[in-house]
Amino acid sequence: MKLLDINHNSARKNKLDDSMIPAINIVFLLLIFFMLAGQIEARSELLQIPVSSSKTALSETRVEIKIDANGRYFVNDQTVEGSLSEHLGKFVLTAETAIICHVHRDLPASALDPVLAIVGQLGIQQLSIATANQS
Amino acid sequence: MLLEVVRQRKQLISITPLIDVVFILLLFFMLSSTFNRTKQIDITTALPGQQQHQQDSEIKKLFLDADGAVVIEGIRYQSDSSDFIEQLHTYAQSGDQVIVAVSADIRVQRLVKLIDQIRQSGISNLKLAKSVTS
Repeated sequence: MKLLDINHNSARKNKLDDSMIPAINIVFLLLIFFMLAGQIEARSELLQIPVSSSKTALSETRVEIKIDANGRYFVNDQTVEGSLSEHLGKFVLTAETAIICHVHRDLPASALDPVLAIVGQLGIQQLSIATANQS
Repeated sequence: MLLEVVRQRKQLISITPLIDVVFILLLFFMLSSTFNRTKQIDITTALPGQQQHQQDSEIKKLFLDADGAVVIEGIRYQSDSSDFIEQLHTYAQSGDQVIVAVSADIRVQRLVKLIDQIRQSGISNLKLAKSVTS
């Protein structure tokens, strides 16, 4: 009698496992979708970029300047100690170099002045400001 | 009969732990990924020497003051006003170069909004000057 019970339980469990297969397939598909389509971004309260209606996707660049809410400058995620121009001197910058600036939206516009000054000194004419989509 | 039951129990592989792991991975990717991709607005920096090569009539200077109004040739415009938008369309049609200067107190978001507005009006020749301390 006991053996029969075990057999019955096992069959029931097998049936349950089989009925779960379509659900698992969907979960796998969702997992693959989020892995491929999603982008993992570090979100920080200290760097909330301004909002715009621009459709131009952010391009890859060698030099990325970030200015956070505390007014600290980062070049390629490295904190700038001292002056920004000295720090940028480590990079070989030409007039064709594209610079992208991520600046906190609540900072005064004067926070961009050091960047504009350096870009002007080096003869770089193209500067881009990273923005978020309007939602 | 007894042998058969034992064989069946050995073959049974539970997929529950696998599903648990997959669900955790799914939750991680759903919560951490974002589809709101970052965009960019392109600006050209206003170099002092370059202004001399252009005729004065082709250069329009816009000043965004601390109150958020735009001053063009001494006239103050509210940036949402139809007069200002018309003015921008006129510059766009005549291919004028627009140089934007801002008050040092103005927020970056406000500056970006103005640049966005200028771009939307069709002006491609846009330069940004250093901020002006009032």
